[in-house]
Amino acid sequence: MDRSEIIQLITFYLPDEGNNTSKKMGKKKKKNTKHKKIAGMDCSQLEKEGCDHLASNNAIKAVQFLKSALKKAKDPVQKERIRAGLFESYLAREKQLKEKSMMDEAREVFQLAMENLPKTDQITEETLALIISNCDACLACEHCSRFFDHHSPAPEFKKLLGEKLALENCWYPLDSLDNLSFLARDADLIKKAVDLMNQGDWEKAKDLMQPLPRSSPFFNLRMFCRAMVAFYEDNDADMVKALSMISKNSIFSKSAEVLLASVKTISPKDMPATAVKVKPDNPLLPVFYQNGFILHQEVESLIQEMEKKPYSTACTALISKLAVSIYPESPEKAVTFLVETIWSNDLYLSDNRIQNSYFEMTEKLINKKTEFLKSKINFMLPDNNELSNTARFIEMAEKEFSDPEELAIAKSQAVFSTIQSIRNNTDYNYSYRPLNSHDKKILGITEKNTSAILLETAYNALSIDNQNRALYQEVAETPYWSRNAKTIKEKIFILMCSAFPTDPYPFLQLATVYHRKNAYRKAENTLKKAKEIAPHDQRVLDKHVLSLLISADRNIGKKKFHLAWKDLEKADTFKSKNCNLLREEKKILCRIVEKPEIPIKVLKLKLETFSNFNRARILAILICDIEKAGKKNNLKKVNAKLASFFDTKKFKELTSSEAAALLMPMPEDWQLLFNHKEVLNLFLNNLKGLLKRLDDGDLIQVINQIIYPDICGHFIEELSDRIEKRAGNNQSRELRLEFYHASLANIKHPQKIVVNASVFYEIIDMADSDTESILKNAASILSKRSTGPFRRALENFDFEIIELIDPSWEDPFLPDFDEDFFPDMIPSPEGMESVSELFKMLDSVPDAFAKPMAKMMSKDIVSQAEELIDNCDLRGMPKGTIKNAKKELMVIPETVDMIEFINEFAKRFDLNLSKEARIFFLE
Amino acid sequence: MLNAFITLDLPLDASDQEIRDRYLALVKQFPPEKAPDRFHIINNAYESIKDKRTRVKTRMFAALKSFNYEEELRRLGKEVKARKKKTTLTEILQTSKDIYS
Repeated sequence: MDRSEIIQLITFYLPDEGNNTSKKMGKKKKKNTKHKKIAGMDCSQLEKEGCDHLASNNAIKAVQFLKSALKKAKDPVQKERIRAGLFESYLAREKQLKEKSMMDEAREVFQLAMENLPKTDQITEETLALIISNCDACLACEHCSRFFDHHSPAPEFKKLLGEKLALENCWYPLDSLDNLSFLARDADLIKKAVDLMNQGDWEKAKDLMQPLPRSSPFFNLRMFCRAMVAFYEDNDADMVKALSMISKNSIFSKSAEVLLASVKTISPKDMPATAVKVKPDNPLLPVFYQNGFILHQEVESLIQEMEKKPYSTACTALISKLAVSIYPESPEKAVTFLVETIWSNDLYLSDNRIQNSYFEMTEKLINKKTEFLKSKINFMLPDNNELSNTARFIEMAEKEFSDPEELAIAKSQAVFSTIQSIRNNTDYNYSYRPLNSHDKKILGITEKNTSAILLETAYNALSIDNQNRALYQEVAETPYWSRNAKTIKEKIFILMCSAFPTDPYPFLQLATVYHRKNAYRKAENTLKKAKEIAPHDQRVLDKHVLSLLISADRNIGKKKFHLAWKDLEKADTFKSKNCNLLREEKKILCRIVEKPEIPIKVLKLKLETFSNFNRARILAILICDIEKAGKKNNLKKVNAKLASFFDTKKFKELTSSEAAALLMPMPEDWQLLFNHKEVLNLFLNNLKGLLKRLDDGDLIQVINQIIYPDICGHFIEELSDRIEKRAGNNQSRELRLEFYHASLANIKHPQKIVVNASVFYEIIDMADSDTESILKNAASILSKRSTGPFRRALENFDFEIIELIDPSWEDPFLPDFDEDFFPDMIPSPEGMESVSELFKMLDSVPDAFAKPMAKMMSKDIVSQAEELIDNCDLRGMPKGTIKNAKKELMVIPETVDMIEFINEFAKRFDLNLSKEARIFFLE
Repeated sequence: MLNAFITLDLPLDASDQEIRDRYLALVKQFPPEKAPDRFHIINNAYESIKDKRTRVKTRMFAALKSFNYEEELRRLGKEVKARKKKTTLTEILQTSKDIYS
């Protein structure tokens, strides 16, 4: 290969370099050609070419050609003409640079233009306008003065020059330039007005400039000042009017655009043509506004960023910026508000990664307050450990709230939310998560059982904030059984009585507590106080009558009939329609117990004075009361006779709503006199076909309100009948009945699943979307009446849960299907394995070990049994009361289990139980 | 809580009386029969800050309970009034000149 071939080869492999070189060469060549072309042209040709470029707005080429033309020109006239062209070309280029926001370059080009300023007589009005806006006031005055020597001044130029002087507050050129006297005339007034406007006193400046006519060179200034006054006064109409009178080429025109953009109360068709949209980054906006003008755009940016990458660094920056725009006085408060609002979206999200990035962001934004925010978020989440979270929140709140009153409110409000959440949440599992001593100290808890713990926490909160009416209300609705709970509730309502001395409500609540504590005299005295406060309040009257009826009931029980009649006569003196039925029932009861030999016909006649509905109610309450009053044979006979009254045909005339009302719970206070469940059982067992009289809607309503395992059978039977009669029909109503039917079967047997998931799925599959939402609603209601996995299935409307569980499932926690009942009186079933397993284990070990083990166990069992007796206030109570309590507690499967367990255990080992515990567990 | 104060155009340390007065003034301006939507917003804002107890309650949990944060922010964007700045003639003209000449 020879040398030339090698070079060719290298060139082949270096194409880019070769190309670049050729490109550079080409450019240079082109440039040289252009220079050669310009050099080859004469002056006229260059001038013509330059003017052509100027006409086609090619300022750079125009300058290039005209500069060359000027160099070659010899004729002074031609020179002057070329200079004028060059001046214009520079101004055109300056304009282009300004449009590109290249302000420094534009200024330099303007200087070049001014070097080629043509003679005054050759200056056009447009050129003069440019000179005025670009030169300083002194130079502008000089040029204008010279221009006005040759031309009569147009009003627009006068105004432009006037504004220029006002802008620079430079007035001395007027002293030496006679032909600018039109400006000098108002100069003093304007000087003062400008000073005022520079102090921000637009109002005074406006008054001062009031006499200036429309023809004044300062008219634009006057109008702008008027617009500014209207702007601050939110007077859109006047602002628009003033701004519409400002000339288009005025130095105020851009400011006028910004002001017009803020107008909200004028319709677009009434706006001047100069009203245009203003970009959010318009640099004039911060001159007029502190914040907020483009807030919606900042909000949208944040939302978009959150969608793109939540809690990113960009989000952090946007939140900080937005916070300043929202509330410039205290951006940190706005930041807190924003981070909380944003997290509401992910509040129930359990993704740790997202949570971490959120808290990383909050650390940057609110730093120390993040801990309080975390405690708030935990507090709001549905958790079994509510009290612990409340303690954490209260601990953090102490740092957050500096005002002691606000802190007290925050604490009591947190306690209120907790108790409300526990009451609304059907799970009471939290009682199995013991609080640590630190949390107990924060909440001031010394009690051990659940309802007492809640009430004690409420009492502690109310002690520092006794005005929290909502918390008192919540306390009033919190069930309480143990003696300690009653004492705390008494203390709470005494506190409320002192906090609201003119309100009868706390006195009525206190009276109820006294009734529950069997402190009748205290109840009577409290009601007297309530009567003094509100003598005509129906609640007070009703409660007073009820108190007298309770007293009469007690006296009937003690066979002190003269005292009972006294109470009943006193009750007659109160106008209490709501208690009429109970009053009449107690009168009949008193008469029967006093003289059981009373002819049954007389009773029948008396009962027939009531409507069918009221008669059914009285009969049921009466039968329960007579049963309670004694076991005498003659009373039993009376009861048997009374029960036979239920057969009367007249009861078949009860309407659906009347039948439903009979089954619905009676007023809460009445339960101080009788047990609603006993009355309910009486109706269901004695009033034949009562459920048949209910239409579907009422039947469902009744189930929703009163269902518990013991009475499910009646309803299941009724639902079966209805489903059978309408077999094959899959309409919404029928599907609902089937759903209730299947659910009740599982509710009836809290310890096992009777109806499996496939049945529920079949029903749901047949339902349309509307029916499905009805079923979801029904499931949510029934979940509160059920227990264990079936309850979870109903809550989530997901029946796979019951498909997965072992049919021999046992709920490790206590159920709460009865809202009137609090499970805290039953000791934890922890450690109480099934009896058979336990005995199997004891049988498998040698006697030497089994006996001490059984002894240890019996000790535990006895302590738990005695705890239940204490919690239920059954210590020292008569046998009847203990048996009644047992009957009531038997609705809870765990009680049944416990009784069975103790019975079985007692058969094989000794149990040293108290008298009350023996009655309760072994009889 | 901040949004309620912004809706009523009040400072965060406004007293109960100031809040009440502002609320009544706004209700007069936007009566329920003429501007039901606006009235509803004003009323909700007032109800959430009308006294110390409600203010503490709102401050504790209201923001975290926002149903839809996007809507909440957009509503806030509309509610925040652009705050006008006390400006001077020189500031206006100088800024105009710097930008446009």
